[in-house]
Amino acid sequence: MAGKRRFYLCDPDTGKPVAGLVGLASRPNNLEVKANGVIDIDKLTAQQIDELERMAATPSHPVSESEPEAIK
Amino acid sequence: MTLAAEIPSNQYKFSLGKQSALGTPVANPDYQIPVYDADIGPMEERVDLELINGQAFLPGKYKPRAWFEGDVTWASHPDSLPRLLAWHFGTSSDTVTGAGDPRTHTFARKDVLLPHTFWVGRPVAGGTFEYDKGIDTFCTKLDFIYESGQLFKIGTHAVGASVLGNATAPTPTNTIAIPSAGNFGHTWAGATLKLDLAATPSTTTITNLKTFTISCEYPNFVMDNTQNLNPDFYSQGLWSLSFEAEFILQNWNAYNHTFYGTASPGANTAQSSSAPSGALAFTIAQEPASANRTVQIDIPYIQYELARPTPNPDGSGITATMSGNLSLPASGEPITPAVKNNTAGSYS
Repeated sequence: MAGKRRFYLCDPDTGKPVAGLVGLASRPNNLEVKANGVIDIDKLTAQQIDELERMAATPSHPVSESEPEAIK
Repeated sequence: MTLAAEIPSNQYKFSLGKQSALGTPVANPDYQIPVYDADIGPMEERVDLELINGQAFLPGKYKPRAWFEGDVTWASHPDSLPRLLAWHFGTSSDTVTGAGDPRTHTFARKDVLLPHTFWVGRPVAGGTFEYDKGIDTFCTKLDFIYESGQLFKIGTHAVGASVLGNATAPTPTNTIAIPSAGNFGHTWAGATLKLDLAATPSTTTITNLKTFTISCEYPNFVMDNTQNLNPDFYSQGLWSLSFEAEFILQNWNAYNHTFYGTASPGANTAQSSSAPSGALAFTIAQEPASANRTVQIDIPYIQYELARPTPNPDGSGITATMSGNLSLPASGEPITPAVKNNTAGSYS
């Protein structure tokens, strides 16, 4: 969908998409991410998306807003 | 008289477990962790009973306040370090990546503190223990402590609402074992320390830090009482981040940076009013060495200052104190510690 924001969970060493749990300040506190690394934001609040955005703006944090190489 | 054994002072046990909410202590700890030193347990305030009733002396004291508080310096082990980080960095601070070993636990500070239940196991003669159980405890200060020649340590200051005496003996889910031979956990040797005075992210590897401590703290944390012996409210206050290191001078770059605003000032440069932000990225290794059990600490924006060194007639090499304070990141988190281990679940 054009214009829709996408967040990914990436391995901090390789930059490739990876499964895991994203810590969020409100429920779901541990958002499960599948092996393709795509973070499902459809049910997240604006505040939680802000939280993802702050993580993505941190170079050393595994949450990323740019599309990982392996997905392109 | 019959000879009797004294209680040994070295056989304490310390453990803690994450609570799901305030007021709901857990029955058993997640981790029992070895410590280097500790001074933690029940606290109380005693005040004079200032009653006048014909006597020449005050009749005694009473206790208006009771709580749990103290300091612990912990061993830094890949499995248990994230438990301590979650205790300070807060609810849902842990993001876990990886489908298999190693899994990386990357922390981002959250505003909502994460209460833990804390057990102090006091030795009783005969190899048994008596437990103090701290409830609704918060880690108000967490220090990453590096010293050349020593294992990496984690210092904490904790404050809790209440404590139970002679508590039911807990069964830790995980007990961090000390190996029978070799070193233990994270260490000083093999660290990769990147530090830049005025650039971010940090890319310059340095080797001239003898020691450093990174402190994350709620310096104004207070608990307030209203109508109970134990606190009824807490206020976490502001959060601060600071850095202090023993810095061996190889050149005057840090000195010039501090006073003249640049590492290499031009001729006859006046003192500068600017305090540029630098960065650090430290990777601490584990002994025995494993790339899958490291801890990495990233601070993308930090303002450094070098304390002015003084001449010394003994001719010794110049070592100065380098300190740093948090500066507001252009975006993102002020600090991101990341620990590698093989724990799949979140610690927070």
